[in-house]
Amino acid sequence: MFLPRSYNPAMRMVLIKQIYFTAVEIIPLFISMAVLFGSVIIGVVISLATQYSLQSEIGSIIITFVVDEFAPFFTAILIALRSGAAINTEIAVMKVNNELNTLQTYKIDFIDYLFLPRIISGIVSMISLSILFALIMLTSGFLFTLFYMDIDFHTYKYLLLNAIEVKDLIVLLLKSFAFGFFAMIIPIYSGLNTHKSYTAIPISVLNGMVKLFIAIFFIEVSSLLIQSL
Amino acid sequence: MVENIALIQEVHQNKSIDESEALALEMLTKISLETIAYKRIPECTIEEIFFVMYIRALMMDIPKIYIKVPYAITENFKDIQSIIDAMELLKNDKSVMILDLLSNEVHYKGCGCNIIK
Repeated sequence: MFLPRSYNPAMRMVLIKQIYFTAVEIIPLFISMAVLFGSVIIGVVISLATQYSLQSEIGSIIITFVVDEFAPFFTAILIALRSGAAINTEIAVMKVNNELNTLQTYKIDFIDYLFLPRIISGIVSMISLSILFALIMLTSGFLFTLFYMDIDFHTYKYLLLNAIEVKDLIVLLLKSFAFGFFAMIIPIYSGLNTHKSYTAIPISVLNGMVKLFIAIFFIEVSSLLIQSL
Repeated sequence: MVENIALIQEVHQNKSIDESEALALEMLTKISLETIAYKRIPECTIEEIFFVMYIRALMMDIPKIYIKVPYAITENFKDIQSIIDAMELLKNDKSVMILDLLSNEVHYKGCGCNIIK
């Protein structure tokens, strides 16, 4: 990963395509989901906070809920479902068709050519989409605070800026990094372990996705535990 | 197929995608296979795939190319002379050896290559 020779023109092209498939192509669906679900959930959180007279804590509640937890988690689920499954299938098909052996025959390092661009694109896409998701949710949060609590934009901005800490940004980046890494490495590993028959491909995808979802929940729970220490 | 061939130069020679694809297209054109340049494997015949594999091997930094039992790929392969003629059109400094079974000897009758038993 850190060797310049890994970044040849072929690898760079795969990386660009992967970022396009993982982070760019998904944007319309992603924004719709973020607006739809993000708005509803942030609305529920704000109305509950109001109900329990936690208005003074609304800034830190929004920041913790959106930046630390929901944005990276939701992004991870969406990327796992879309790109994780696709990558698992792709690698499994390549394994069954002996394409990986062909690459080896031509002395093409398939870790550099196939896996590295997917892992980098997973990490880059997960971080950027988590940030986008958080921004959309924070915007929805403003609309709800405006209606529920009659808070204007400047007060809302001030509330958030007062509540946000460097720790929140570090948590967002680290969690997104971990989610992005595992959302790619587990499907790749599962695809590589496919038996050489076409009927083994759906089993490989099924196993890979189950492992990936366990990993996502494990990272989420671990991060909650670490933050609560 | 062009992408497939160009990949070797991109990885081993660090050549740009445009440059590598132009070279791959040039090689295919030499043996009148430019029509398969932008086709995928399932759309190509066995013979066309064989030449793509051969061109990829030519792109490698190796002194010798071994072709193992070409008639195992398919019995419908054209006669060996037409294959050798196409190879001549693509020739470079690499030496090419075809390894085959004695039972396939009949296919090589009258061909211009050296036969070593």
